[in-house]
Amino acid sequence: MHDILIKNGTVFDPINNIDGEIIDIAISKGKIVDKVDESNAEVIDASNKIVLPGGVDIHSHIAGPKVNMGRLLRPEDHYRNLKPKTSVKRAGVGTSCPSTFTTGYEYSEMGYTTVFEPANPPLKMLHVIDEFNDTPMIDKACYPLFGSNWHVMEYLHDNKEDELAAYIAWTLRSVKGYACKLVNPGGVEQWKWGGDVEGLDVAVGNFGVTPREIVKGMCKAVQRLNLPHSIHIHANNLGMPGNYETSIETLDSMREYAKENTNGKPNPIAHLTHVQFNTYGGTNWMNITSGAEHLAKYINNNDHVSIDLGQVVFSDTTTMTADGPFEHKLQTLTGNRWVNADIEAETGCGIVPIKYKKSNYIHAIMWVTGLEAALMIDDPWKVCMTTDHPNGGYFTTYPRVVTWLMSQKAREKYMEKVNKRAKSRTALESLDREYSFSDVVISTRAGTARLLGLNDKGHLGVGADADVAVYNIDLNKIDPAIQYWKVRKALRRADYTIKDGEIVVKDGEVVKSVPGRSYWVDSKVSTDLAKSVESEIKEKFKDYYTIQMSNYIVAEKNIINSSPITVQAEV
Amino acid sequence: MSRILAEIILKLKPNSPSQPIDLREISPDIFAGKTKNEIGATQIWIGNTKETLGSIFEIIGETAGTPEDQIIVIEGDLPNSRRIGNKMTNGKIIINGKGGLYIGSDMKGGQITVNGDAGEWVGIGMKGGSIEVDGNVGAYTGSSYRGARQGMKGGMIVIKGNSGCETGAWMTGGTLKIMGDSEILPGVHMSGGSILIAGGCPSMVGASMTGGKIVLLGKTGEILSGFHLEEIKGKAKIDGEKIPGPFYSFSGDIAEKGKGKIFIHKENNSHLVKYEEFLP
Repeated sequence: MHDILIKNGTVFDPINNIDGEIIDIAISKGKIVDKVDESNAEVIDASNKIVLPGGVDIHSHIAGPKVNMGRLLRPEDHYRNLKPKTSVKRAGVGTSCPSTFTTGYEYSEMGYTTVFEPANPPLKMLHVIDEFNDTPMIDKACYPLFGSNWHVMEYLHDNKEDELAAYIAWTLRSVKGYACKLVNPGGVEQWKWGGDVEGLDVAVGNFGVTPREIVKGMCKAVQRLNLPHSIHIHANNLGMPGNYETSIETLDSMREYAKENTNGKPNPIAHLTHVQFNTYGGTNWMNITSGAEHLAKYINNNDHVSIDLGQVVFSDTTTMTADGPFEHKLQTLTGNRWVNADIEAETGCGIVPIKYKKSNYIHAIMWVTGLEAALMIDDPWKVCMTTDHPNGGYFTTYPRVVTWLMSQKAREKYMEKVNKRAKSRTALESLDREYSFSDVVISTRAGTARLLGLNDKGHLGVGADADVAVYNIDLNKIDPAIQYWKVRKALRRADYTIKDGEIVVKDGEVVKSVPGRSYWVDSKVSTDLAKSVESEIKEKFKDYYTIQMSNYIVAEKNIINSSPITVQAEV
Repeated sequence: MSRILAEIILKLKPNSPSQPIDLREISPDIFAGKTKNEIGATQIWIGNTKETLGSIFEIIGETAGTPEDQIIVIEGDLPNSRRIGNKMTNGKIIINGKGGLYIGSDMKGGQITVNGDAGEWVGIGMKGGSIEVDGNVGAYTGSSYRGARQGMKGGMIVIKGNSGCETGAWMTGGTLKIMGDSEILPGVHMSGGSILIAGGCPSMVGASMTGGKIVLLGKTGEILSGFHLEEIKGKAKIDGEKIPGPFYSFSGDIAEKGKGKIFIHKENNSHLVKYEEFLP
């Protein structure tokens, strides 16, 4: 492996307070170093180009059983994007549910180096890990689902907080998960009996716990386990008019566990994901509007919350979530073909293809809501840019979303084409905020890495992982607020992507295929507690599952580049 | 100034490969303004290998400056080819031999003539222009790709022979004429446009249709239960052309709250006389 020297690039590195300075970045043995011997190093001339840390995506459905089901459901999705093999790339297809290899290549060609898969049933984790092994170029990890897990609800019902924490630690260690995801807490279980929970205080049948208790209990457990990422929440009533109230109530229920700010930056304990789907105002489908203003106000006043956008991009895409009842509602609205699944004692799943149309009032409101949330929340460290791939749009549309954030002109130009009534009923037109390059780097790299607890990613300081992206944007000539299309084009194909100190993409084409790591978290709880909980779960497996516990556990030897992160729990 | 049409002939070399050949590069839009050498060097996929057009075709004739003046003549049987005339907007392609799959896919304008049989998916997602096939075609003529909901939207397809199943599936506009027989399920899920079947069809005409029109002159089996007889009409209209009847005019498919119309020729379908008692 050569040393690499990136010379004369315009560097943006908010974590190290570098804002567009021209400095050299030296790379040796997969890490950023102080300096390298120029005569022995491969020199990249980055003059008049920008140099950013490699992209870190906090929320993108790229692997696992539901993505695979989406692939089966949508042959026409493959047909739209055919990628032939090259000397380094394998062949692949797909836009909203691309094949694993294509996912890795396209992310890398956009300058992304780390992608986290946000929702998987623990029971199906072997499938996820297998797909991770086949997704090259990027580091990845996934968040197992706990929102409607029978064990969680039983422990909460019996007030066994220590055991709950130990169970979560056991599950993450056994199935190689990274963080805890709650999807419509309690509601997915209720859906298995044909219902849903409409509010935070409706008891879940058979278990007698409420979504509020699940959210609070899980939040507390996650904190006691010292997991690197906070709890990742998809709130109740997702996608329904007026649901911003539920979202705020959910976030507020966890405020009592809030932590102190560190280094002047907030230290969130809850991550409200794809807020765009979680923040509608109005009372019905006719008068649905954006509720971003209310959520933004709450988040500006409270430091215990971070969000990601889930921005809608008008396209023909596939919605996929563990939220079975929501997908049922969506299916009745669209009449499209669909999948709905029940995953034993853990969760559910639904998939419905959808085409977001500019002319459609509701779709236009969705588009506005995401952008309003991004622009109204003042602190970029709390906001991650995502499209909730593929629910809001494909990850390949990120450059488009970034230009909407960076340029009011881009928004205005686009707004001419969207539904007029949606335009007149929202405040987006009056927002003149434009993200700076630093803000963009925070919401796509620095902030996401920080929220995920990845200390070696998202920045270019000495000792960081050598994940770097170089884009052909000459800031002396291009003003992102005006020539936004040039920025969009440049961000779509990185000039160089460097992954762990190796040049993997050159001129927007993959030149070397590397496997990437799979992160997971091993939270050490006290030995006695771990033992007693494990034997308890072993008993429960006989009652609740169709498989043996030994087949449930994912062995580390099955993972390519397994990268455990060990933390000490407080239980 | 009169237009000068330029004709370029692609003559299939003997011992052509048996693998699938992706010929989406054969289109007046791509050929116009190029030299013969450039056309010969155009990259195509044969199976999983990259090849050039020149490796399987002998290229004779000349190219035009603009697509509308370009005529492309293909000599030889290409049943294993794919996507000839993909997304073309103008000009003319003539295939003297068997055509392959996906002929004129997503075509927007111009004209394709196949003097022989063609495979499945002729004119899928077509938006304009015209396709004429002298022989028989396979299934899914003028339909959408599997799973997609955007079938033929405009333009005209004429098949002089017989057609396979699901002709005009998810069709939303345009005209499709089958001069021979059709297999089952013509116009499934169609929401607009019109289909003429001059021959017969075994059954399931217009299943799940929500709009548009199907005219059937030959014999068919039972009409689907989602349709009801509205009236008996003296003639039917396809693309402005009057077709003498009499026709049973059915409306449906009620299962999809549809308002599609199917016209079945009365004289060739005496078994449908039982519906007449339900006439208003």
